[in-house]
Amino acid sequence: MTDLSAHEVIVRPVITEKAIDLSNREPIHRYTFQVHPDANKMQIKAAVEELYKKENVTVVAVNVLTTHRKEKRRGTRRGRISGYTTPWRKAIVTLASGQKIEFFEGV
Amino acid sequence: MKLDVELPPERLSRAVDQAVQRLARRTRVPGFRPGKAPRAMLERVLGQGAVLDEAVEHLVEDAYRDALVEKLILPLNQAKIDVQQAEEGKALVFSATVAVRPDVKLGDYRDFNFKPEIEQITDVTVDKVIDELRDQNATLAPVEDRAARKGDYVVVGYTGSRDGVPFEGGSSERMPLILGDERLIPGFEDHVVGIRLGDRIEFDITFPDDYADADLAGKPAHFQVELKELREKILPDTDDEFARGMGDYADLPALRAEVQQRLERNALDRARHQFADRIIEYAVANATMELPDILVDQEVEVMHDEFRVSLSRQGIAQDAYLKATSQTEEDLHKDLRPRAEQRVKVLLVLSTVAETEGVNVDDEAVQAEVERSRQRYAGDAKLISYFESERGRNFIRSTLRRTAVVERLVDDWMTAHPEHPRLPHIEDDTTTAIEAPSAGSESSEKKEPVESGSPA
Repeated sequence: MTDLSAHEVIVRPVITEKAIDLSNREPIHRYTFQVHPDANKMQIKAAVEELYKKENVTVVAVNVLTTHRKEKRRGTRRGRISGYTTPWRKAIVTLASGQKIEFFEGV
Repeated sequence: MKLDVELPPERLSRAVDQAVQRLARRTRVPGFRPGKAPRAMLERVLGQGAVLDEAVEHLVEDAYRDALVEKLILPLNQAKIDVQQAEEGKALVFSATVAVRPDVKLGDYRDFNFKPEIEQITDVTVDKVIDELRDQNATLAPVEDRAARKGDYVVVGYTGSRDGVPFEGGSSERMPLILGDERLIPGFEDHVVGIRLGDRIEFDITFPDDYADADLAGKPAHFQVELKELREKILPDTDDEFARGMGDYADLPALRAEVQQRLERNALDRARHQFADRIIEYAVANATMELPDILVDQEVEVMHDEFRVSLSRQGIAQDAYLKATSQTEEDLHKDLRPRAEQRVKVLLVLSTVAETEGVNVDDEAVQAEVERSRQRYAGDAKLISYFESERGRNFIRSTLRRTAVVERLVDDWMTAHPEHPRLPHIEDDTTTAIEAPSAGSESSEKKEPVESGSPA
């Protein structure tokens, strides 16, 4: 297992309608991040608590999933080109009941 | 006029919410369906303060409009708005500066001591019209057995030269002239008088000093002239036959009577118009008001436009005109200004009199005028849609109202002075009636063509 700093573990917050919705549910707030592909749940928990030290939060659960690469083809004038979407790893972090962070501020 | 408006914080926060919805709908933020982005994201995409700005802008506009309605203010121009405080959680404070119609202090506009002046139609005037009719119906009989006289219709061909060289514009193959009209250079026609058909003459003549072509002005020239046609104007005799030829008239007295009648009607109409103009002048002279510059400026622009149109109708470009008269646009504006002021004054005074007198124009009259305009400007879609718009209708309404006010003043004077002959509105009697009911309709129509030669 490699040594990753908190900033290396947490790449960026995922800001989409769905992520915002999860983060705004009461009383338990869940925050979604893009994380390092090799990071494990323990590292993610530690990184979140480290990055949001000021809010002094406790991570009670981390769910992770990998969004796999996907082939994309598209026609141009010179013929078809194909490639892949970037695979990435997503972590949904659940904080202790009632705890919140300002996660726009990440990265 | 300055309006100070303060709105409670709740109004502002409501406006902010609405602004968020509006902006979200038209801003695409990745990760969100249109209209679903939260405020924080909008601010990241559009910039800090964008939401608040949008909210303030809308709120100020609404509040300004409400304030106008509430205080019954009719603005004349775009308001200058100065936002003094716009912070969320605090009251929104702004002021709007706007020009309004000035208060007009009316003086007297009823107790004038002038009367309508009706031009008397005498036999002499009728004779003059009859003579004009004869002149228009004159025949041109060829003459061979005598020399040209003043008043004859001739056709000449001529060649003009200087030092033996023909000059530009100095020649013509066939130039029709009426001798004595002096349409050519002074003295030219005198040489033609006394020669016979087919005669050729040569003479020297000097162009006048004020001749339009500077190269020729004051210079001598030599002309060769040939008389190519000689005709005499023969006026029809003033008899019953002539009268019958002019239309559906039994004899000469009938024609004279008709001419007399028309002239009298025109005289009455003119008298009414002049009388109305004098009343307006009187009312304006007695009223006091402060003229807002903005109104006068607008009127100057309007007049400038009218001027441009009339120039272009004569085929003159404005630039060329300004150059020829060595004026600048500012000079022109300065010239127009006094008249613009007068027009604005008339407008303001009449509107105020209309208010004082309670003159109103109902919707049907406006609608009727819209219909009329639609027919009159049938080809001009833009103008028609203007007339049908709210603004166009208001314009028509206020115009009708001003006309109605003047008509009312004239009619009231008539009622107060029953001994004075009636002055009917001419548009009510287009055919034969001389006595027309003086119903208060509008009179902004075109006047009937003046008499001289209509029944032909």
